[in-house]
Amino acid sequence: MTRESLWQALRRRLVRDPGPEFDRKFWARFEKEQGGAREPREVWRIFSGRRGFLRAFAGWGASAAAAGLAWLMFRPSSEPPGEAELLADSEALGEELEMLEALDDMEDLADLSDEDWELLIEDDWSEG
Amino acid sequence: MPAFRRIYDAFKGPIMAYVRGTIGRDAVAEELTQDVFLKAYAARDGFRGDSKLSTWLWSIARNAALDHLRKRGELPLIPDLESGATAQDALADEGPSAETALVDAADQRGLQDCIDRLAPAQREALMLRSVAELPLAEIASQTGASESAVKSLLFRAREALAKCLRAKEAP
Repeated sequence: MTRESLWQALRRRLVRDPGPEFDRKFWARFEKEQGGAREPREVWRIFSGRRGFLRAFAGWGASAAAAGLAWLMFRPSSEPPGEAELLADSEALGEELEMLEALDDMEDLADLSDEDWELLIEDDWSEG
Repeated sequence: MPAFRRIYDAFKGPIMAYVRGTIGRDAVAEELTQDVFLKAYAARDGFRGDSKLSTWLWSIARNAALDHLRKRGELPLIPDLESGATAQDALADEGPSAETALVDAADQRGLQDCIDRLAPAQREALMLRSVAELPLAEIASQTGASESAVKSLLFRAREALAKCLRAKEAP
């Protein structure tokens, strides 16, 4: 026996992918009516109200500060590090920061409300 | 993938079904569905995130369908059916039922035909509840009707649909 409600059953029966011909017509019409013109988005709109972005940025800043402080405190004092060593440290630090940033982002995204999600994706509408 | 394409891919099927269901059998359903996405794209800067994206899209779809019905002189004004709100209303939103089995058993043409036969206001409420998956409060907000009016409409739509499907099932 089905566990669906009537509404779910109706949706399953009625919703169909319109098909490739529909897509072709739509995108042809889209190109014709919208052309190639894309309004550049204002920078403030990309970042304003982005709780996720601000929190990720704050997390990234804190991680960077902590990592920098640790490096200053524990760096070898007997002799200056070689260029290769500095480069390796820098790359490792960069990777770590990227990972921390990604984790911060993911943590933020998990907390996002529908509205926040929509704000986040809103800025690439203009990419068509 | 750009957001607009993702939104188009996610909503094209439901919006087409909603438009087709709301305006009835009409050759312009496809064109109206495309209009919805073009209007949404054109109005994208007006979307401030005050409501859910889906709510905003459904309101554009609803306006497109209503504009078309208005041109045909068939605007489905949802009547205030407060007095009709009874214990039956609970049935308007319940789980699996005999009607579910009827919908499953119907062939596509028969199902569409029965939906087309519903009163316009019932059809609209049915589409907003089933295809758009809007909660009662949201349907009430979009249509300007009270929640009990929407419940009554859904109950009546459900009854009429079942009656039509049963008649088609009968030998």
